[in-house]
Amino acid sequence: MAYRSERRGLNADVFARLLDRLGPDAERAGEAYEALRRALVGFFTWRGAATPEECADDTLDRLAARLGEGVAVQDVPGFARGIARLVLLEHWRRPDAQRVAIDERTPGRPVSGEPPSEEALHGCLDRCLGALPHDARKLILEYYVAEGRSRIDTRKRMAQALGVSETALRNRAQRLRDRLEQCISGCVGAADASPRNGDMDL
Amino acid sequence: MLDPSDADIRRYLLGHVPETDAEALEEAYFARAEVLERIRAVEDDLLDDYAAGRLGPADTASFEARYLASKPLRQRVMAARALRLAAPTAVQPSRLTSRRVVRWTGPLAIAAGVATAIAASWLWQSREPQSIASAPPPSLVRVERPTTGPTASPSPAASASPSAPATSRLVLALSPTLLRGDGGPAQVRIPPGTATLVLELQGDPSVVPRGARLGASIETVEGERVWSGAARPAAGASRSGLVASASVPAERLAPADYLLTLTAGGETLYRYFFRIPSR
Repeated sequence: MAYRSERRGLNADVFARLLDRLGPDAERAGEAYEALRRALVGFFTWRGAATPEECADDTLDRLAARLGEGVAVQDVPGFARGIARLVLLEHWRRPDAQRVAIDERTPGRPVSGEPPSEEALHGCLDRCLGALPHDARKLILEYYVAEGRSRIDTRKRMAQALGVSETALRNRAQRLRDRLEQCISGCVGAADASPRNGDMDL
Repeated sequence: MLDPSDADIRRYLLGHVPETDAEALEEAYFARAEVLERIRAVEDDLLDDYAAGRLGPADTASFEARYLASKPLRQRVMAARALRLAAPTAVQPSRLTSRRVVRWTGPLAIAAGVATAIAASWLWQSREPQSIASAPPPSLVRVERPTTGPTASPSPAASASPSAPATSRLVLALSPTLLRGDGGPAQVRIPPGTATLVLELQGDPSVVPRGARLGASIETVEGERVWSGAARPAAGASRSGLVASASVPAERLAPADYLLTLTAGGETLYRYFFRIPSR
């Protein structure tokens, strides 16, 4: 498991101190680190930051630095959350964090750039869907397509059929959905950048 | 918020909770991974409900104001639209299906749907640049002239730093920025001669306790209080998404970044971030 400790020039000792505070052994510390990072990415995403991953990493770097300075912290996730709020305010104060003003978005000029060609879209769709194993493709379609009350019943039935808890099924479906989403977005972006799509691995 | 309900989580995602509740939920998901997983699950269902048109008008407006203003969240909306088209009742775009050899049956609808969803998303954004959300844009500046006659029509923010002609009252609409995905602070230059900056505070009116006295205070981000006073509740439901307004003497607001806290009976409801840029 790789950790980004080089961005602020954090030395290995400082970063090791952060991991020590997160768990009693390397494996649990690593899991706690990843859980904290996911929470930070969620926080920045739902609070509207344009670059949630970057903000999360910035927060973790600052957290590691503070712990390295010997600051006494009882609740590391809570302390990280406090740092995250400061990072978020700083993020908004950056000129490049400002959103596009409404009247700059004229008709014919999409906010996010030119739309991909139809051929590029087809290529991306085929690639992304085809890259999923059959069972995974079936699972994601069945899990998310049902509506209303049948959604709840369908998911319960699926969990029973698979012999897993509903929570485990939910988590698996989320991971698959994330993959599909990232694949489509990445593939569409690559199609924008070049005339031919490169290979995309899920 | 030790054990948030799905309804609580959905309100958080839509930006419909007071700041204290948002912080409590964030504290919960920082402390427990299972809470974060539940939030993602509720979010997926919210995305799917939006894609299926199952959200009410107010929730749709809130959803679009947040999820279409942020690139990471727009990507989730695209995926949700694609999945929606796999639903049994979804209309399949015949022009796409006729062009493609069927390699699989169910997922072909997905393929057609994603293409249509992505194309529609691009087209929709280009055709309706001013209506990313059907709710009022997060930053709206209008001028209220001191002389008799009709007030100036509202207009979208002219630029990242709109400048209005000199007038005695300047109106700036604010969204609870710490909860919404607008990606940047509302800001306005205050021209000389402006006596009052009226801050129209957006949010969910239903979170305001009935009969509570509303107050507002403004601090610099460094923590220096520059003003506090009463906030006037929004009149009825005439302005959807408007909670209250606060009239601030313009002379109190030097160029700086500010945080406005809206309270009801002393309890924090929302916080707003805005900027007065240097002249």
